[in-house]
Amino acid sequence: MDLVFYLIALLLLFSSVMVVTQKSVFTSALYLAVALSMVAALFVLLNADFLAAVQILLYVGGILVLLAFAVMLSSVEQAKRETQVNEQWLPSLIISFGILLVLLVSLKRSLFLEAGVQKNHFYPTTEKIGHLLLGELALPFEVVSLVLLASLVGAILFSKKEKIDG
Amino acid sequence: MILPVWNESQKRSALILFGIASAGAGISIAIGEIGARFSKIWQCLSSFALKNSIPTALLTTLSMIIQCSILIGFISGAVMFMVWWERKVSAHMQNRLGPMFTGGWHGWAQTIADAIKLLLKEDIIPAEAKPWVHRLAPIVAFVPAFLCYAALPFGEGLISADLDIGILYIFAISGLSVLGIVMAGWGSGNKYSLLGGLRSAAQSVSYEIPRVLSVVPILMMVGSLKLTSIANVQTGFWRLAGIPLLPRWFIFYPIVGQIAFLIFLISSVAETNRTPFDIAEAESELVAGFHTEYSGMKFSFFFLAEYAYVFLSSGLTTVLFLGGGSGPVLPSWSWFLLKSFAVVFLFLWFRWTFPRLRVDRLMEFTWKFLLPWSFINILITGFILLF
Repeated sequence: MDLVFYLIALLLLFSSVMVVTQKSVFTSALYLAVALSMVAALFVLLNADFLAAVQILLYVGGILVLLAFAVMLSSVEQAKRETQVNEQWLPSLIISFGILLVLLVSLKRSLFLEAGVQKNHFYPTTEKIGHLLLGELALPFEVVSLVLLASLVGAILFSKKEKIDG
Repeated sequence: MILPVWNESQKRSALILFGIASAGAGISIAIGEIGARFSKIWQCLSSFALKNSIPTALLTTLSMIIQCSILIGFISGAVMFMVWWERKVSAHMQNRLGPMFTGGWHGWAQTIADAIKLLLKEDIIPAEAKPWVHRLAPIVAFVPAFLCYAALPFGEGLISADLDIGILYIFAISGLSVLGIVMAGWGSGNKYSLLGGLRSAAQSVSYEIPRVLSVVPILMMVGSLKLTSIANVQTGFWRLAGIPLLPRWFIFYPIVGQIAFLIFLISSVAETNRTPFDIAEAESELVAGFHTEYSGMKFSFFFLAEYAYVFLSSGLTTVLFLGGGSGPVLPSWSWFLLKSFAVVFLFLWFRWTFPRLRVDRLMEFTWKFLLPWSFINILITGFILLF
């Protein structure tokens, strides 16, 4: 089981690095697909079956295909000339280092407290998630759906062609 | 009533077909429930392993390998049959002749000959192509199709992985195949391929949404994502004053069932890139679309994926709307196969009778017609469940 985890983690790290270092945008998108699928595999290892399926359905099957749709229009020739790196590497380095620090601190605080997570017992999670979303967490759930609706309406408003008078 | 006048060869064909059908029914009754037999064999093997202290890990690994082989064998066999069937159906619908010579009786060996031809063809990678994307694309297109079969219940006890999220799993994994098509489109270094890939990406993302939403009413009624429990709910009959009227299938559920079935069927056809919706490989506009630059084995992988998805969609339709393996006399797996192939016939029928849609109309159809109606359907189901 541990071996599987390390294999997945290794693949995830490798493909994530490839996403940001590849020259061609389309190749980056393909590596992103691998990275997102590996995250789903991690969910499977944690017995979160619903999350894993939704991760694949939305991120790989939905968002990534849309991404590929946009990226496909970038030609192979363009990939040879331009790089994906810009001049802002110093601020981004500082920000990512800060995020890493926060993550490490919070990991150190919580990691070994919950050592009692059942590893080998699998319980289906779908029903529990449903009850939580429409019970205890109903308010945040509705707020999120409102935000999504607002962004949907906004997207339609922006993409609508402005009517010429008359 | 006037009976049609049959000539000698038609009479002979009808006799042969009747013979095949009755022999099939007899054999399937004689075999009985495969699921029960498999579990008996499994019990024998595991007790044998216990006696001889063979590790169970080895046994489960072996069983997985055997299950995968059975599924691959089934997919290849079914695809071979469907390709031949498609040509025969198209021949009958459009007054063509279809395969007649290979193998003797109605060209039954035509697909086998075609498969051998595809295996022997030269594999060409164009100079403009990105080699590894070009090489990987057919695999990315086919592997998800195969993975989906793991969660498809072929009848009582005939399912490799009875997942609690069964239907969600199939939707999620089958969505991955588009990536293969997109890769083929981009990696071939050809404008036609690129356009085909672009169209395919837009189309599959759009049709995936009503396809998933059309199933939601069933999930609301059953209260589970598990395919076996969805199939089990539909056994028995709708009764009117004690007389069994209709099977308890979801398609016969008033209003909601029919709307859901139509939306699911239409978007399933769209997801498999078949004719009314095959703008991704429209031969009159794009040569062959995303697989223009593919030959030999790589092309046949795309072909295999398409037909694997046709049967997968039909199997899903059977489980969700037609009661899965429920039915009298015959064992459940043969009912499942009969119903599924009946739905496959619908797919073939669509392909050879409808003209191709234009790109913009295709998009309008899903966003302005299918999507609102699937929302309305969910709303109606909610009201039915409330009162």
